[in-house]
Amino acid sequence: MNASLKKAKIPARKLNILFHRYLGYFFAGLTIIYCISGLAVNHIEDWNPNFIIKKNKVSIIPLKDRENLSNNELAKILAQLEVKQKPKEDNIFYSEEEIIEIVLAESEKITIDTTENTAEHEKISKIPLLHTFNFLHLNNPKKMWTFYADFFAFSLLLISITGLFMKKGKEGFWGKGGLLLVAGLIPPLIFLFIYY
Amino acid sequence: MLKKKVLAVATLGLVSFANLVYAGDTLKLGEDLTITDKTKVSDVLANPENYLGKTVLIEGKITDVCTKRGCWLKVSSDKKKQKIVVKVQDGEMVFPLEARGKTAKIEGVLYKAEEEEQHQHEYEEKHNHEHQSGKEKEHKHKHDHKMKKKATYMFKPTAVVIE
Repeated sequence: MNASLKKAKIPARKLNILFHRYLGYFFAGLTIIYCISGLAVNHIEDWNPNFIIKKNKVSIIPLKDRENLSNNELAKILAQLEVKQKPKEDNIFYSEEEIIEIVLAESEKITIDTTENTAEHEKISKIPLLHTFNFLHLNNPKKMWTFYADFFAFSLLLISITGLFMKKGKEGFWGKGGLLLVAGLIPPLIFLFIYY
Repeated sequence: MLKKKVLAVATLGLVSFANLVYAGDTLKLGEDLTITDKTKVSDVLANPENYLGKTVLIEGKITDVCTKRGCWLKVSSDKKKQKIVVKVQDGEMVFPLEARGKTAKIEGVLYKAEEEEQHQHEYEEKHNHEHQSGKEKEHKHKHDHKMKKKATYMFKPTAVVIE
C-alpha cells in the first residue's frame, strides 16, 4: 500500500476521508473516556465524581482530656465504630480546637468532635473506572501524558475539520453541512452573550 | 494470530505506561524545592504578618486532602491546635488522596485568605461529599456569617514533595 501511495497521487478528498476514518477509529475509545469524564466533572458541584465516601457517626462518652486521647478512650471509640485497625501514635492530630483527627489509612479517617462528643468514621473508595477516566481527562498524570493529550487534542481538531469535508455538494460544507455548522455555533454564542 | 499479537503488545504498552505514571514512593508536584532551611509551621502561625509574601519551606504531616478537586490539603503543625491549609487554584497541582498521613515538604508563600475563599474551603471541607439539601443551604448561610469574623492565612505552594 505504501508503494502505491508514493506512486499515485492521492486526491485531497481521499486523504481527507482516510484521515477522518483512521484517526476516528484510533481515538474513539479515548474520546468516549473523555466524554464520560466530562459529564461526571461537569456536575462536580452536586456530587463527587472520583470517590464514594461512607460515613458512620456515633456518640461517645466525653473525653477526660480533650488534648490527650487515652488508649482506653481510643479503644472504646474504635470498638464503637467497629474499626479493627489501630492507628499509629503519630497519626493522631490535635490540629484544631475541639477536633481530633485520626488518620487510619489514606482512605480512612476518624474525626472526633470533643464538644459535640461524636466520632465519625469516614471510608473513601475510588469509583471504579470513573476515577481513572478523570485522572486522564483532568491531566493529573502531567509528564508524558500532557504530550499525548496534546496529540489527542490536535487529532480531534483534524477529525473535526476533515469531518466538515466528508460530503460534497448540497449536503456538504457549502450546503446543508455549512448551515448546520453555523447553527451549532449559535448556542455557545448565546451563552457567551448571557454569561460572559 | 496477528490480532492476538497486536492486543498483547497494546496491553503491555498500557501496563508499562501506567507503571511509568505511578512510579516511585515520593510524589513531587510543581517546581523543584529551592530552600533547604525549614520554617516551623508554629513559627509561621505565631507571627503570620511577618511571613506574608515571603517564600518559606514548611514541613508537616498531611491530615486531610480535598477529595473533590485535590485543590487543598491540611498540614499539621509542630504544636497542638494548629494547622495550615495549603491551597492551589484548580488544576495547578492535584493533591492525591494517597497523601493523607504522609509527610510533606512544601515551599511556598503565606497569604491572607479572602473571606470568600476561606469560606469556600471550610464549607467544602465540612460538606465535601454531599448534595446541598435545603437544610444544608441554611447551614451554609449560618456558617457564612460565622466565617466572616475570622482572619485566616493560607499557604500557596510552588513546590511540594510528599513522602
